Amino acid sequence: MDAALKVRGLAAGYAPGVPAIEGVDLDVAGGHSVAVLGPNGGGKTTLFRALLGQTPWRRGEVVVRGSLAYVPQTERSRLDFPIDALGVVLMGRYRYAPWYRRLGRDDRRAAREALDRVGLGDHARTRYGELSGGQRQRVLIARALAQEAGVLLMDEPMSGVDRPSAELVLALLEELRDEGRIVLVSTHDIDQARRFDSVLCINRDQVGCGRPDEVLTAAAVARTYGAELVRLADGEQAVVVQHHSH
Amino acid sequence: MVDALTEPFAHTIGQRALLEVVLIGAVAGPLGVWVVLHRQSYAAESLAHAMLPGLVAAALLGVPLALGAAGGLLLAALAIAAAQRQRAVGPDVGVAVAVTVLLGLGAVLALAPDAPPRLGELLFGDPLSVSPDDLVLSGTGAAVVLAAMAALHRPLTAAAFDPQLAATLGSSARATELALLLLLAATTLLAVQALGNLLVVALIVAPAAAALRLTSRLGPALAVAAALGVLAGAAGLYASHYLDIAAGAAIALAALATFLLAQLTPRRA
Repeated sequence: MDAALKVRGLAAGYAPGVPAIEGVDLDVAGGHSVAVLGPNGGGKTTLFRALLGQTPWRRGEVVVRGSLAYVPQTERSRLDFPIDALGVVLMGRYRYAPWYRRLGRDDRRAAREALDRVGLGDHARTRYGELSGGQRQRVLIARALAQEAGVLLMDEPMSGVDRPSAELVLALLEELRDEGRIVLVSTHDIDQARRFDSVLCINRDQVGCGRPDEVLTAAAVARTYGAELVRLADGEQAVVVQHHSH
Repeated sequence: MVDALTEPFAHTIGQRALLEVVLIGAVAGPLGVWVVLHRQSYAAESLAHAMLPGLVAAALLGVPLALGAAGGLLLAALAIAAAQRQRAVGPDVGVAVAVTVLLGLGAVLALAPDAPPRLGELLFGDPLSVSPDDLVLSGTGAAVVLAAMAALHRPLTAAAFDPQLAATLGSSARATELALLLLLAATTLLAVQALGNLLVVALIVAPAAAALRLTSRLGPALAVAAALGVLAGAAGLYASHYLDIAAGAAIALAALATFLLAQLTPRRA
């Protein structure tokens, strides 16, 4: 797997000419993981949608080698939908067969393998809505694997997931990275961000990008979180994050 | 016992009615599953209710009902689409007003002194009045809609499960939604003769909602909805024959009964 992602001066938004993000520069080779750190509404999701070409307006340059797959937050998928885990993973194969033709045996095998890969081979026939948050997240990762994606864009994969499952997901991401994929993960958790190879701090504008120990300075974190940051009495910082669905 | 089962269908009229309700039940059920999963039940009801002027115009002009239904559906779709853009009052208010205006317009036309006395049939349907030509139309239409649903199975799945994601999976959510509304219009057109424009929604939404309650996977849900649609159609004809009640209304009530009975089963997670 030989993925690459180059972004130069990217600006994008939902209203033409009104950037929700601006001045994003990023250069990642395969086998690297990047945490996209920022407050809610800071443009993390907009960045992913811009990379996927889904925002109505985009300026700048994006070069991708390998195909992109987007892994949404599990809370956004429909839990009442009558489908099992394998069915969700099979969606990753949809674009490999024309819409009027049935999925073939190869597609089923690829979906099965992807599900085994995330450790949920035994849950293939379990209804998606009955799985735990962490299991659902892994099913959605399996779907991206079934898409044969070289670049994974993951939207807050640890939110709504209990701690042991979050560790499982993080370990899985490290494995996928070591296979040569690019893994981009949006998060608002600074501690989680430290575990990635690089951190991209974004709060509408790009605040910084580089190795976690270089980028995550007190000043950069303050600029990233702006008004959401409160300073504790002993000088430590705490980040106040309002959870909201968007 | 066997006589009691076959008696309603001893004559051509009963046989045609049975064939008609089997055809539309088998289509309306699975189509309804997609309508419910795409949260388009309100659109289904609006579209069906607002098509009355077209039906009345067909009755007044003496042209085939299906032609009037097609015209009425087109007018209704345009009015609803325009009403949904009314940001000042909100889309739901806009649609409610547009639908009521069209329903009222249809009633005014139908109750005019020189109009043929068919308003009841247009509103509540009459499967016993189906002609052989109607059956040919229903059969062809049913085959087309079923084939289209099979072909669109994957886009419909992706767009309902995760509309924002459908594009990255290789299909357009907006095009899929439009295709679903076209199939809904086609199904309404097929079923309006038997059920009328006020009751047709019952056969689309109720068996589907029941099937989704009884099953936990898409394939079985589509099959069960088709079976319940056919069952409701046949049960309605029996009720109509033995209780001497209006056939269209009896079918609608039978469809609602499948929904209510399904709610009595334990909920699946």
